[in-house]
Amino acid sequence: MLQSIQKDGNLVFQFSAHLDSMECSRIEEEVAQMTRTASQPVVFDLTGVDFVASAFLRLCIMVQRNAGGNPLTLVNVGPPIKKVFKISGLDTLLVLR
Amino acid sequence: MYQADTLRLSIQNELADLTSLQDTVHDFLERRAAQAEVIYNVRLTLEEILTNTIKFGYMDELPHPITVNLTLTNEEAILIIEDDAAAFDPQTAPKPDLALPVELRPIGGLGLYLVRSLASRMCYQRRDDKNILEVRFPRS
Repeated sequence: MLQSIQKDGNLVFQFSAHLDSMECSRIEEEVAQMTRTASQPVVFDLTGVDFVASAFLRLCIMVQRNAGGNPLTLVNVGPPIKKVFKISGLDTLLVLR
Repeated sequence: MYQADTLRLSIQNELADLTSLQDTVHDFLERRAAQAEVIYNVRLTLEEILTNTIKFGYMDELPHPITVNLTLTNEEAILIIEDDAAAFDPQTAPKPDLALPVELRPIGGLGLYLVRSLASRMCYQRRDDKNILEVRFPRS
């Protein structure tokens, strides 16, 4: 399930536990549309997310491209997911907390 | 004492079959107290390799079997994936350019690179018109 909330001037997305290819295909268009038109910084809150596939990394790249000057921020990123971002070199292009 | 348990699963080349396969593999590993990192790496490998095979490996619209063997020993998890898709060795996929800024990053190519980076060993064979891919992850 995809949830988004306005919080502290940010557009914050929350996700289901497994962000595999099928789930990313399902949410991709909605996330793209919402982030393209958003004027505030975008935050992906990964609380409760225990798996991301490369499809989610592609989604992050796409959102960052649409974000204008604001870097995409990911919060509550668990160690195995952080490792995947690091291997992909995305840990230096996005903000991970 | 040396122990090895093996799980053998067969699915059709349908993305919808992946979810139940992943659930079964997850239960198998969790019941044997596999570490979270091993469970993650096995899930990622199945996700990336099988998605790639199902999306791009077949030239017809017919159902094709894909078999997965997962062996858990005291030292490692050994995954063997066998399919009759077009010949493809994931080790030959080009490495993505990780130095590029996000605006220039190609959208594809990360999945197989992740698997290659996380695995301790990968071995590919083409035998009897089948792809046989073995991927290993250490348990510690």
